[in-house]
Amino acid sequence: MSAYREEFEDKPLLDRVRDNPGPAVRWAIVLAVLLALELGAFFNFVMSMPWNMAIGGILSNLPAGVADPLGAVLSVPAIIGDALASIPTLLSRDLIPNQGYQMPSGEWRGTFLGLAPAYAWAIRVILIYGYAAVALYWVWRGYLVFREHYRYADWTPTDDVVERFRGHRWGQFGMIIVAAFVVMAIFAPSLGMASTEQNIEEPYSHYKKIYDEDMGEVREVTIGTANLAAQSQGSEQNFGVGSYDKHDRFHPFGTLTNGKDLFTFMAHGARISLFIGLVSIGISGSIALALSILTAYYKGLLDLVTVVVSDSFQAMPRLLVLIMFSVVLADHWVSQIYNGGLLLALLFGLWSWPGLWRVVRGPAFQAAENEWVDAAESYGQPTWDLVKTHIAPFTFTYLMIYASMSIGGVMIGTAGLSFLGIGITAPTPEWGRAVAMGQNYVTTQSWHMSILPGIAVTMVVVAFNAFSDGLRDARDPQSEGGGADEVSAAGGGA
Amino acid sequence: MSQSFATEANTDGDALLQVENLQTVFFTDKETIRAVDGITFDVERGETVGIVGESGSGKSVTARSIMGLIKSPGKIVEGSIKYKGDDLVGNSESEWRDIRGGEIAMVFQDPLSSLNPVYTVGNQIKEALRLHQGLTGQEATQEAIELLESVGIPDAPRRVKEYPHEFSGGMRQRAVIATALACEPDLLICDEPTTALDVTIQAQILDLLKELQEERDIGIMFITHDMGVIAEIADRVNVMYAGEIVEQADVEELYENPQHPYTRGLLKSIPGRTERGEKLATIEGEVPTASAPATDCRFAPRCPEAFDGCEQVHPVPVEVSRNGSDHTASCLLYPDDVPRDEAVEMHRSRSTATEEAIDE
Repeated sequence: MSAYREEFEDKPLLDRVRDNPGPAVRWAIVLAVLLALELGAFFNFVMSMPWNMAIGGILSNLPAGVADPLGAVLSVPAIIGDALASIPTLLSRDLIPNQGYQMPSGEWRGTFLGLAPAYAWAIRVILIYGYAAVALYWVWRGYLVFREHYRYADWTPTDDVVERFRGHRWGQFGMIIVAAFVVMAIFAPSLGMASTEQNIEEPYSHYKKIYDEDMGEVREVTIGTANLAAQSQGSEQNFGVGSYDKHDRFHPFGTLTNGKDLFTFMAHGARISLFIGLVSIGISGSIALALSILTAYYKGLLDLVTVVVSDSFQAMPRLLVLIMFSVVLADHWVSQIYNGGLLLALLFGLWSWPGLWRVVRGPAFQAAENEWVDAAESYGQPTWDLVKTHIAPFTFTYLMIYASMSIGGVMIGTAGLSFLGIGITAPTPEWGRAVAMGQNYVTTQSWHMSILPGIAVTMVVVAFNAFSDGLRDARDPQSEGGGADEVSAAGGGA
Repeated sequence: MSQSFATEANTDGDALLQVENLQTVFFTDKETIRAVDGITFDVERGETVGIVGESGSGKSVTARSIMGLIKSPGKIVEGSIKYKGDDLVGNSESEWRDIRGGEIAMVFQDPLSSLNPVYTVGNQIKEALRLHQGLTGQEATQEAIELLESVGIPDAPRRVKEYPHEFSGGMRQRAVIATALACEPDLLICDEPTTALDVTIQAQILDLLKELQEERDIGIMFITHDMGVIAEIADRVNVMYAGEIVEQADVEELYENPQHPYTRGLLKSIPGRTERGEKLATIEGEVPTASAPATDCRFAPRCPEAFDGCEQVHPVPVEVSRNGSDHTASCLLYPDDVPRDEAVEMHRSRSTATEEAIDE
């Protein structure tokens, strides 16, 4: 093995792969097949981000001379993206349809293999999660292939981190739930009973076939009509977990007060939650990281100024600030995107960096005290390079851990604000909105509307905390068993 | 300012580094600490100048002052650091950056912590090569390998890919020296580079530094608390105590003929120089923290030869005798060939002159 390694030491990874292409090619082929199956779904996910509103909003603020050509240029990736998004995917609702109608004989028409919609849907869900599990495993396999065949070092500290995480059940539990949540967000269009457009946003522009027993024939009704007849309203009428409505539609999690499908609503809500969580953590994390490494390096006045600024940010009542901005910016294009989702993400991002900065400031200061920082400075490394290469890596893991904890806080905050009616407004699906809709019915048969999204929020937040807990324990060999005191930094919601 | 009482022989203008009356002060909330309090010395090309003293005597702060690495709340309040004739005090950050590495490089005390554990050794040498020689990619790797070989690391092509934790202590210090050399400096400041190493490795590193100095004709400023190491490597020695240089002499002269009571105390406390079974001499007490300009001899409380004058007059560097040897000491006992009262008076008048010069 060592002679073999001598051969490709000192070469870039690509050359090492070229020298011994077998394992890499085998791995890449399988990955390519996996990706090809669902290529459309990934692009659909990318393109489902509200690009047009964001770009349109920015362009409308630019002078026409600049905006028009810029808009034309930007429409090219949009067209390509849309084309890629429309590539048929294996695990789509088109291939395994669940929206059929039942003949008087009990026979199902228009569903997958004539199965009942519940089974058709269940098959799709199992396939999607199965696919996701295989794809994730294959990515992990890729790391193992790299480790075994292409990595120069026999051992790196990462190996130990991985090993420790493999023994961390609580962290793995978190990771699995988080993965399930992310898969739900990515595959929301295929997981849902119908598309959001159809079921939630424009129900009166879409139709569905049903068999009308009075007329003895198949006719079409608007989804809106079907929804009206499927409202869950406590003791009067309820379509609970796993029920069929009057128009032969299956509702795995039941329906909402307006008759829309709760599972579809939640699948898309996962997208919104993830979007808000990632955007806001991206913003606050970048601010926190940049500030922490700079304040750790310069100390003194810059640090003091940052402390004062961050304290002022934290002293502002975040909830009131959020309410104020959502009112002030109500007519701005920013609040059109996801019915206020982007605005929330930005506000959470801009208001949660002080907490993250406080958390990573300590490790950054510690890293800045290392002699290698002086050593790097003593051979003339420019300041930004220096903080980036010699302080940031020691801060980043902490940031990642605390960021993943704060994601939970942001999600709770979003759900809380939407529950109060000032976060995300109709029709964009959001878990907090579902909880709000169902709050009057919690004690009735229609308990599912509040309870299921509530459980989902709790699970995901706990999972993010568990995952980051696992990451922290894995990263730090001394914290085996983990001290509860260190976990308490999880961000509370609004 | 006529501060260079005895170093005139060296201050002929073309010394590589001329430090004159350097004062570096730390202004903390509680007190003002005069970590370096008016020191003067030179380093010539191809020469090794040792700075020796106890912990807390201001050796490292001197080194950092020369590198421009004094951070708030520290500040150079007085004096000049002339490098190749240009004064570095008051340089902007970007001017410092031009000096650091390419002109003056530094080797730190602890080889474990002066290499970043998350990057390979080669990576860190290559970073210096990129900054100072503009080498990247394969070329830089080749040069890094050559540098590692030149500092005596066997199997360099393999070693260049390894992380600091895979190196032994001595290897690491060699790698640090290689990083410093990658910058092609003319002056190398070694801040206790052998303190963390065991004696055999120490000797190897010292030999390596000597070799490199001959090869590249660089000036070395060598800081240590170890009199044995200084004897091994230095050409000239400055003995520091509480921020001041108390004795300055050629290395042989210093060891054969130590004049300042502090230097004598240091030499007596080296194990092995005393007879077997004899108790090792120590200097009682510890280095005081200088918080105000000195009005007395800072060593007086610990000095076995202190007399009344020591608490009233601040000694200045004077030649120990008038026969012109290049050997100065800041002690009221000297010059030893004049009566004591006269010597004390000489110190008093010179230190007053110095104070007046500062007040101006």
